[in-house]
Amino acid sequence: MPFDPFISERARLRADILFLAFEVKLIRLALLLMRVSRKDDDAGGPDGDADDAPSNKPKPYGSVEYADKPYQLAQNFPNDHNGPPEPIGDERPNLDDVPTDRPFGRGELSPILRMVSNLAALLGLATLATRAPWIMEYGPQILSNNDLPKSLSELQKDVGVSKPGYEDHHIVEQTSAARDGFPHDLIDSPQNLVKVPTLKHREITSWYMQPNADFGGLSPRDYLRNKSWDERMRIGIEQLIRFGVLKP
Amino acid sequence: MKNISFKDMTLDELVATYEQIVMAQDQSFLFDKLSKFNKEFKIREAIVEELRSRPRDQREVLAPLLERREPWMRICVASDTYSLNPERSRRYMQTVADYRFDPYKGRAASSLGLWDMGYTPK
Repeated sequence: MPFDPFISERARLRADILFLAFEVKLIRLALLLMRVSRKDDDAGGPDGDADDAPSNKPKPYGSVEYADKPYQLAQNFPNDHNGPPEPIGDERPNLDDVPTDRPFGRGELSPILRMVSNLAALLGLATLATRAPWIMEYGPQILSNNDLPKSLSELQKDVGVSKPGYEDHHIVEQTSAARDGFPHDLIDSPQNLVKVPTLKHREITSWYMQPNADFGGLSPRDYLRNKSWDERMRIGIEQLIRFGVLKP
Repeated sequence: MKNISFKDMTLDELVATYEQIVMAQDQSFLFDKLSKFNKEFKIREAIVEELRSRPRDQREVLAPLLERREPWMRICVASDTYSLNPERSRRYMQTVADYRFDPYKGRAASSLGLWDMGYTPK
């Protein structure tokens, strides 16, 4: 029988698959054995007091042992969450999400403008305007939201000047600073004021108002109550950087 | 939701309720509905506290939700399980910070910045 390269390749592939399947079985067996041996350890060993005698051995920070997981939801998710996470870049709004009529509902406009602005960066404002002409009314806000980060001096340059698509922003929040007794000349000083894109301004303001696990469940505004000017300033500057307004 | 006692719930039920509340909070976050967001935050916090209070701190049961592709889900789970595994939380939070769309991107980047500064979830 003449040599057939396709048959030979198929045989090699089949062998590879069989070998892989064998390896998977071996790994499963090893995991099962590990689980059984940990269960035995938990049964108490020579002293037999498993329930109230957690191991004194230091565990790597954040590690979870099999015995620590009576709940096995993880079985349904093969990833152990310790490898590189899947990116989430595929889920994105598309042109159909842009309402053809102007949204009038309370609180609806800013989120929709944010989404339109994200799409405008990808598709161009003109493409979106053919579907929803109303957005041209908000052109400056939509476009400014996609500004690249600027230096502090650039952001401070236009404070007090009317500029469509931008608003003045206090780095240290003005109302809470005033309530805590900081003087107005400090609150309204040029060092504390920047001109930022309108939609970014609203996003940062929302951030200050919403409860946040990073501050023990308080909103940043509540957390910063009675804190020093320096701490407020450090957090305010960090937020400008992280929201993409200020160059790091 | 008001009269639910989380103490009587199984871990499955707690995870399912957590998932449900995070998805609802996503909408409040997206549409700046502050008072709804606050209520949902309190419920979420109560579920996390209930998991934490169980023997051997059971918050790890939330970790599989990190695999979800909804950015708000990743933000919440990364924050709520931070102290169990800070490096893992950073990795998942970074995927949201790398995401192109507001307001998730900014929120995730903000948390990463705060974590660098030492403001971390308990």
